[in-house]
Amino acid sequence: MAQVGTEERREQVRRTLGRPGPKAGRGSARIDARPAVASSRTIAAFLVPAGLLLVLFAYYPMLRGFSDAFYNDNGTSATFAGLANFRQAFTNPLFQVSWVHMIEIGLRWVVLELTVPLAVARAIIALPSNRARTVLRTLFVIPMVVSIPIIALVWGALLAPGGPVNALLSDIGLPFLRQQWLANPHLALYSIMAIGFPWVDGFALLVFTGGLQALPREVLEAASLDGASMARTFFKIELPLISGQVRLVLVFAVITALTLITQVLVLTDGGPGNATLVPGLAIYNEAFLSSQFGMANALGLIVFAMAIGLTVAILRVGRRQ
Amino acid sequence: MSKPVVSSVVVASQGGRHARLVHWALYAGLGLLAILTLYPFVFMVETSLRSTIAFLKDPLGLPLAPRWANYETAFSKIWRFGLNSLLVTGVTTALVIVTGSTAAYALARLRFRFRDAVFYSMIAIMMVPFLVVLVPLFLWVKQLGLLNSYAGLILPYAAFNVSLAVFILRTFFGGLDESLFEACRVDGGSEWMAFWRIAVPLARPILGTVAILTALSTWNDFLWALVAVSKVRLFTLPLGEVEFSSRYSTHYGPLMAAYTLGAAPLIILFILVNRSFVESFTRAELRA
Repeated sequence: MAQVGTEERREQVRRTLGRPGPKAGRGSARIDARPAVASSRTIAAFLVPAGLLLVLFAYYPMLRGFSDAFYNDNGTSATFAGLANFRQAFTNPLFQVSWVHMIEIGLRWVVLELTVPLAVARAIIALPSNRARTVLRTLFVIPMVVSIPIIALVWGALLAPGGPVNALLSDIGLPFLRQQWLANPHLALYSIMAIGFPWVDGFALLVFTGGLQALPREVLEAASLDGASMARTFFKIELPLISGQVRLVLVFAVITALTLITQVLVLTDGGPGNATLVPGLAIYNEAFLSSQFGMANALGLIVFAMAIGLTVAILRVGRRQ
Repeated sequence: MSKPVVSSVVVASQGGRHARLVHWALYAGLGLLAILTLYPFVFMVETSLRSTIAFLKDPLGLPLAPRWANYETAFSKIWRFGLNSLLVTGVTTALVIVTGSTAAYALARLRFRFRDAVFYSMIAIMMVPFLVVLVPLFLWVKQLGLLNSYAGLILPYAAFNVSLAVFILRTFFGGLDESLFEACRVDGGSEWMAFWRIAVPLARPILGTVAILTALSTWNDFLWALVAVSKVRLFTLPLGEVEFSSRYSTHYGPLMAAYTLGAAPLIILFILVNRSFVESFTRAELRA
């Protein structure tokens, strides 16, 4: 009814030339985001700048890359190669090694991302003091604002043969445990994974605290009244309720593992040998060391397909509830 | 963060003394984790104040007399990178805010055919990891003659950040009450006026969030800068830090000073604005 009233008033105003209309807010009781109709020139003016940026510097290069994946492209000439690059991506032992490393890192990283930040988030939420919660949350999130190369380089110094980690091992009486953390081909990959210890990822922490905070009081009260222990409440009630957040963190963890490159590029360059070769670095090397752009694009397309496939799978599973 | 729902409900049900023990255990555990998390940064700062020789002799030692000379060395080498980063980040952020807000406004409050399709196609790129676009983007930018130029850095940064801006801002603009715009529309005001005079002032805090997110991702980006720029005088800060580390690889003193100079500004800024950032971050994330 209020709708009709406002319409009538609007029509009235339109009919009376030049008379100012009713002041905003008065009489408009509905919350209605009914969009207005504007000239197509106006609409274009609003949309085109962002659209142009996106088309020119995001979509067009992306599509060109996808098509180039089917070519043998070395920068000067490009011949059609069909699926040859994709076959190479899985038969060439070099690339095979990179996929294996990616899976090794991916599995461990996913486990770390879903356990540590979740536990920390749950612990932070349980604290009585508001100030303590804010302070702790801030502290854990600080590494998020530091650029990855700097973090990697500092860890490189920590893990250096003459660095603090080895020095600590000596000092506490375990000198035989000292290692060439980054130079030992058996340890290098794990050392890369170790960066960020104790792995309280800031993003995951924020997502989980956000989710846990929003849990409805009544459900938790009902659980405690039923005599459920903290552990049971957590696993049987809280966890399912934040499944959306868990899925989001899982997606991010997977994509991080798939596209890992910076730490490796900065610290080991895939080495020693190919001990830390990952698909991201393989893409970089194919393009910028070997000028095999077609191959690099094919690897990129494969990574993209994996990312999309896994994301869709993760967001779909369990939705059947 | 408001009242702790979980804490008051679950822990209280187990009695006062038990609750206090649990709280102390939590504080201790969380405190330890926080110390471990921040140790690398503490290490970075303390080593930056020591001479390299002192560090090599005793990597775990503390600075006896702060060696500010390390900072002089580091600063003299990386100040130019900082300026480059400032320029690139500033222009990118401005570009994203301007183009993103206008697009978001049109997508939220103007009616036109294919509106939804346009919106989804604008944000779809967020699903594509940058690594996937790195190589073709490089080849394309090279073809445009924009390698080793500020534009070659700025434009792709803007393109890849504008999607999130549009996503966040469209939600905001869409939530505005139509009545706020009625007066303007009825007065015969243009859509531009509605946008500029009404929507934008209301959006100031959320534009701030978008600006912070864009600036953060642009300032800290390494991969695109690495590939788009080869002339050292154009290096951005992350690139410069890596370059510095490869030149001064074992001069740990100045090296750590350089890293501290690179990391400290953002850490300090973050601590200052952290409350609003985290809140708007979790709000935007929850909506997603």
